[in-house]
Amino acid sequence: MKIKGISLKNIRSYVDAEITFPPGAVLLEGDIGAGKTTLLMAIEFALLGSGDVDLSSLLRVGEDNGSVELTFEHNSKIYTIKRKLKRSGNSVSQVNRCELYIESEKGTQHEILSPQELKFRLLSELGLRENVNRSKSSVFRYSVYTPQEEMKKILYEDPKDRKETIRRIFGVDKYAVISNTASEIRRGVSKDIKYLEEEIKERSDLEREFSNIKENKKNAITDIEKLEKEISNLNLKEKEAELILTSQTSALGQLQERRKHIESLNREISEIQKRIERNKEYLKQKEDELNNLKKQVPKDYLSPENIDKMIIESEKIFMEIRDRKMEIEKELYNYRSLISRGVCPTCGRPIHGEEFKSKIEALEIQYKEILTKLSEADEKLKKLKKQQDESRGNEKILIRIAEKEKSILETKSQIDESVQHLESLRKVLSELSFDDEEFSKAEISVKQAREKREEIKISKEKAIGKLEALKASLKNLEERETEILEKLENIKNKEIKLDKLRKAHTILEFLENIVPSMEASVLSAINSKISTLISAWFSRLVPDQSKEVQIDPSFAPIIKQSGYEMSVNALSGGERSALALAYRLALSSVLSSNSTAPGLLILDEPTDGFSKEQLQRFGDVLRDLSFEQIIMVSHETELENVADNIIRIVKSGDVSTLY
Amino acid sequence: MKDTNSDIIFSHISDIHLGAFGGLLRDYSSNAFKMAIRKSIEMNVKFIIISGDLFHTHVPSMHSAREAAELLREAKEKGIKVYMVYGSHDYSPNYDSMIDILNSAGLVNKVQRLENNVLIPLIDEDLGVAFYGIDARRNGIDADLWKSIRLERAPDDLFNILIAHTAVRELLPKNLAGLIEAVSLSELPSGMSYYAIGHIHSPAFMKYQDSLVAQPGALFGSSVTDLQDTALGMKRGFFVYRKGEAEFVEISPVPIIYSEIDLDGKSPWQFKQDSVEIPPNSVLVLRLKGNLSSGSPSEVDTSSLTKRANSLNTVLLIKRDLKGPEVKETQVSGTVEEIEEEILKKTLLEQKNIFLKDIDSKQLKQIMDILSQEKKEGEKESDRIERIFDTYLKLIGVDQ
Repeated sequence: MKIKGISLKNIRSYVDAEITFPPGAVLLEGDIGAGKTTLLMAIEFALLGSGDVDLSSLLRVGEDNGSVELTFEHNSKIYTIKRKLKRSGNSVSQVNRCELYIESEKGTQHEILSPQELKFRLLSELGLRENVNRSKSSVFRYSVYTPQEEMKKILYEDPKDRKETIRRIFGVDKYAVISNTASEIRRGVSKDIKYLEEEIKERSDLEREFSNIKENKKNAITDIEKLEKEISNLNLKEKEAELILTSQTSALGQLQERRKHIESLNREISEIQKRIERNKEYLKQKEDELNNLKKQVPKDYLSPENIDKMIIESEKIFMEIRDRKMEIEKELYNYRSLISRGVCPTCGRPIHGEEFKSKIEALEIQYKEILTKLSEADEKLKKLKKQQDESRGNEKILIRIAEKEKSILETKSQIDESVQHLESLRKVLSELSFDDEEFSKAEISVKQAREKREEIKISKEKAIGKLEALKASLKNLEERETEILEKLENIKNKEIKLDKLRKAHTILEFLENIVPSMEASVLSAINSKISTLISAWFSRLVPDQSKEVQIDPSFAPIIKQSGYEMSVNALSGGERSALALAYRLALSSVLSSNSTAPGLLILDEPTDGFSKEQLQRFGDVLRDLSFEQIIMVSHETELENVADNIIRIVKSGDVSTLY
Repeated sequence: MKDTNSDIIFSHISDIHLGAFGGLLRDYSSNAFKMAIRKSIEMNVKFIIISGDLFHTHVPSMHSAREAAELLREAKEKGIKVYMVYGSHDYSPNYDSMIDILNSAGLVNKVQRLENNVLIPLIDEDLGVAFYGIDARRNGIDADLWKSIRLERAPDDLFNILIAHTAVRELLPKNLAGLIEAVSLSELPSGMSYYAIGHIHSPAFMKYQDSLVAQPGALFGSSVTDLQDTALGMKRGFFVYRKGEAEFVEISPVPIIYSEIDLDGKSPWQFKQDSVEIPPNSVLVLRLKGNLSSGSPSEVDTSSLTKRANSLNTVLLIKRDLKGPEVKETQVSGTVEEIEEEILKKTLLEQKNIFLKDIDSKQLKQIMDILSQEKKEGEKESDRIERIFDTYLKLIGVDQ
């Protein structure tokens, strides 16, 4: 990785600056507070965002907006990153829109990303395996850029954290991931294996069952055949028995019919006799009643019809008489009216009563006669009506007499019929013969035949039942056979799968077992390389050759003098700086031998506490380092001889300028 | 011995090595110097000699320089002068050592006056002392120089002191005899009342002809070896010359204790850290020794000892004089991919399980890549496991 340039707008003491970084060793020189470290902070911010950088101290005081644009080259691609800052109130934050340009031979790719997305993208491109769960970028701080105040932190860091960071830097933490993941997955595979083993456990049982089923099927088929034959025989027997029964039943039936008939006849005869007797009694009764009725009818009975006729006649006469009476009355009235009027209404002449007196008298005589006739007619009529009523009453008796006579006739007829019927029945009866013994025998025969038939039927039903059961059983066997075949096929597939799962399990187990030693070997190799380099560089940086440095298996520095291990604190300030620097250089060197690693080294006042001699030694070491680019901040003018290029930074007022 | 002035009282301190250590040891080292200066003041010395290696480097830290300056000023304010030479550590060929700054500030007096191989004394008439001294150089070049120089003699009535930061054969401890370049007393300029020797860290004293030859040794020490020696009984301090005698004044800013743990025939895991007694506010030099029955020396865990020592404000120095059983160590080297490939291939060859017979390292790598997939954005861990589960089984050919 090579930083090509950076543009700063309102970043601390830089208002609007553009710096080009040449390759090789670049020294950023200037007085304290000139703005040297700001450039390094800006580079870190551009690459990794705000994790380790305090944004409020990055944005220039009094400004609300600022930006950093960094261009670098890595693996034949040119990357340009743009991040912006904004102030709102008392806080400073990153603008949520960052830009990334990647130029390669395929063209230029432009992406808009969030600050976090940009960070992860760049970590991936640069091969820096930071812990994504932490905002701080320890791998970057260990291997590329360490701020001055953190240089010696590596010596005092918690051994666990240091080892963890080194593991991440070199990708050794992947072994723990591999081991843990393998363990997790192996648990899952074990479960699947167990499950399949359970499932295929039944294989032998199934095979045994299959074999039994085959045998049972064979037996069942044999039994079925036997039963079918038996049923066939039983069918024949049943038919025979049926025939016998039918014949016996028929014979019995006939006998029964005959007996029934005889009984019926006897019953009928008995009834008829009874009926005749009843009818005879009934007849007598009727005749008595008839006689009584007849006695009730007078001799001079006239029928209502006759009387009706007489009444009609009488009424007619009465009406005539009445009409005549009315006429007379009318005439009388008229004559009386005339008399009273005294004038003729027609002609108007005066009327004398004497003229009409005779008429009136004649009329009055007529009237009296009429009245007498009318009264007589009325009497006659009344008499006739009374006679009619009586006649009606007698009519009813007569009707009853007629009915009685009819009834008597009917009864007589019935008696005659019955007698005739009786005689015919007796004739028939006399012709019918019935033998009880024969009947009993027939009954027994039928019973026997029925029993026989039933017996055969029961046997047949049993056989049929058995046959159906056998057939059902055979069907079940066949179904089960098919089922078992399917299951065995399934089991076969499962065995294949189980085999593969066991292989998968074995491989995982193998890896779980081998990964710790692999990790140990890799760590040991890395440890060995780092230890060798630290030892070499420390001895080059520190004049006191009695002290030697190694790292222990936990990557903790061990200082030895005359064979005694001493704490880092036992070193002088300059020696500690030298040790920290040697450690950093060793890490970066080993990392840069990894093709994906950045290959960039940023040193911020690395020679703090160094003596002049140490500074010279440091210069020698620097010349021997093989990084694509080394950017150094230092106020030590001795280092000018070592750098390939020098960028001088001067601060005027509160603005930094570059030369 | 010529002692023309019976009022001469001085202290002779050497090899302070300020800045040799960091942390607590730095403080103890500073305290040792403080104790020496203050003791000197208390003992009413007239001057102090520092025979080299006041600092551990020629440009020490500001902290060490400041501490030294404060103490030297304290002495100066009491009217006590300090005379010194460069040591082999705080030496600068360009005279831009911190010693030169202290010299310019008048806090010390550099003694060396060497012109054309003639050693000229620095005479302090008030004290009645003539100081001769040669700054130390690296790699024992000064040893040859001693043989070639001539002395410009000071007046006889002066007390002559030679300050030399060099190894003197007669004062060498047995363990160094014959191992390092050293000069004999006879090769040093003669006629001195007092030879103030520095450089070798073990104290020694002898009378030579009429002279006293004193080598105070390291005041505190500059290395763990020094601390070990102290723990094993080597005295630390400085000399005070008075009336023809040199008294060794011991300085002990901190208890330095030596302890050994024998792990012979034991495994690393049998070492119980809790059983080690750590005295508080001290320096504990702990030696683990023995032939382990199994494992390697580095597997002997001492982490909690260090923690406990830190909590007790104790500096712990551990030496592993341990040997483990001869194990043919497999040198692991190569890239991560190469190491993985090698381990996979080797382990697969050893496998008898039929399931592993038909799989190669490439496929295993592929599976490892699948298993190492990280969570996608917004994905829960359970979802990741499920996704990988499906992918893995699909790869193995299991139809879910």
